[in-house]
Amino acid sequence: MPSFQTSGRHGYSVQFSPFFPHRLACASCQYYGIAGGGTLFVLDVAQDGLRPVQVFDFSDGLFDVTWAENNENILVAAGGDGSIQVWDVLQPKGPLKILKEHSKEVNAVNWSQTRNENLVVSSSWDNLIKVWDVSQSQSIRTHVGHSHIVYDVVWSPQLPGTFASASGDRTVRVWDIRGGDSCAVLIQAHSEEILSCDWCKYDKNQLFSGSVDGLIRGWDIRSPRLPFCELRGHEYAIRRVRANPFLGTSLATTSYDFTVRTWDTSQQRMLETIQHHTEFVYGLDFNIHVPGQIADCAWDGVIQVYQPQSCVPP
Amino acid sequence: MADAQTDEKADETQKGSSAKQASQCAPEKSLNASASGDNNALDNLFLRFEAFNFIEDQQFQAGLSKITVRPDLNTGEDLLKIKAFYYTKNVEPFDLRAYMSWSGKQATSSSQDSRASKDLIRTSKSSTAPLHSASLLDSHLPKTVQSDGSSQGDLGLKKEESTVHETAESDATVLIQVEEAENSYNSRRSAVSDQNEELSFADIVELVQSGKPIPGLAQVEVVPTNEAPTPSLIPRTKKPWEE
Repeated sequence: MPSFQTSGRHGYSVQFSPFFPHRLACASCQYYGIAGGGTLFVLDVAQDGLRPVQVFDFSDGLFDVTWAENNENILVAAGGDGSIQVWDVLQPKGPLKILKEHSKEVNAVNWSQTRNENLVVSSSWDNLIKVWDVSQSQSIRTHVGHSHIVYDVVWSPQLPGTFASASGDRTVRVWDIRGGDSCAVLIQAHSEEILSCDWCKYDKNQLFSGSVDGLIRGWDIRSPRLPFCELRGHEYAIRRVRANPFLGTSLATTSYDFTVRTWDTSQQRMLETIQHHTEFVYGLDFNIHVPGQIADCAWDGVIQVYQPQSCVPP
Repeated sequence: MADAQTDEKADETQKGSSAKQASQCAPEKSLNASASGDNNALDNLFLRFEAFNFIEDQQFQAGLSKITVRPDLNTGEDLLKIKAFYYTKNVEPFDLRAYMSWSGKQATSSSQDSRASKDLIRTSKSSTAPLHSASLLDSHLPKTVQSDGSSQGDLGLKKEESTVHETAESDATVLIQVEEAENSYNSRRSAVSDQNEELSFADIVELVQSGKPIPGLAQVEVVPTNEAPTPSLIPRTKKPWEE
């Protein structure tokens, strides 16, 4: 199982490249994100582990990263200083751009998943969501509505111009950039802060949320009053929920209980508990090239790449 | 939009009322605190701490948002630690460990504060992690305060510039060569990480709070290059769900 030690850095987010099956990026912070800078790692899975291809330092913590879908060299990272930065793997001198509009830490960045759209959405401690065309110097939209920190934003893999957000105001919201400024769907999803959400890749109406209450819930955005599924098992807050790109009923989650767990949403049951970290587990991503392969990262400074049996499609 | 507004209002009403409850709760509780002498004084201290309106204390909230101990952790003992720091610094001396054992008793006897007991459980569960160990927590908390009255914003916690300077990285030319990247990575890291990796969450909070320099703090000035992206040579591949 390939792994990598982000010495002196605490991992917050990992994402596999949409272009190369062996490449991933990790956004990390020095000193738990309390003080110091951040580092963006670009790593290749090699026979003997994960090897750094590029390592970018930044003046503030980096909390999330997303790969461009229209250029294999480009990444966008979320900064503790309220900026998003555009990085190029082949240009080690520094970010091509620093776009700073958020007034507080940026928690999440995500690049469009639908074809012919190349927008980045960012969410922040300042309660705002911004939509960017990173070839321009300013954001193209700001979405106001959440009354607390917005922890996660994810574009729909099927519905053009549509993304979901998860917030400390205990709601999950769905936004359509072609519509008005307000959200299209509002889900009173949990009784505690919601740290993550993701879309099912095979049912365009399904959305999953993970909360400080330790629960994962599945929602049909056409009837969001009650969840269609609820998954119990984590002992503490759920930090990240990600849906399997090869299997519509498969989820993986990371938690402050130091574990990663895998789930079957149709049977509403936990499949595997993976305990290879010794600290809060933050980042999680599925490889879209290797069925069932996962990368994760944690505050213990370890990035793991592995393939839980329960995530491999039959 | 109608939905969103209603929701926000509901949220605010809730917050307001719970804050009010907290402040009204305190006098009642102190009436009930019947033990005499030290115990009584301690009870009162802890009740004052519990009644303290952290939610509406602007200085506290400003500090909290600054120190990037993200609010998603706030249901646990991390928030309690921060509150204890702040309270000790700005209000009166406060022993967090004694409070935790006190609030644990309260919780079992009256089930009044299930939050506190949750904090305790979590502290003991996480004993493998230096970050959350109760002993560490204790040894890093100031036991006494010198009340100099200085009103330090941001809980007295701020991102502190270190005197230690991480040497800027090589004037790397093009490095797509893995070996090269790895070497430069290793040399850059080893200087910093080796001796500092052991610093726990509590260590860092304490250093920042006391205004001491944090060893090995990364100090890089990053400016955009404004270069054009390297041209793409690979077309977008189909996603598994687009097959």
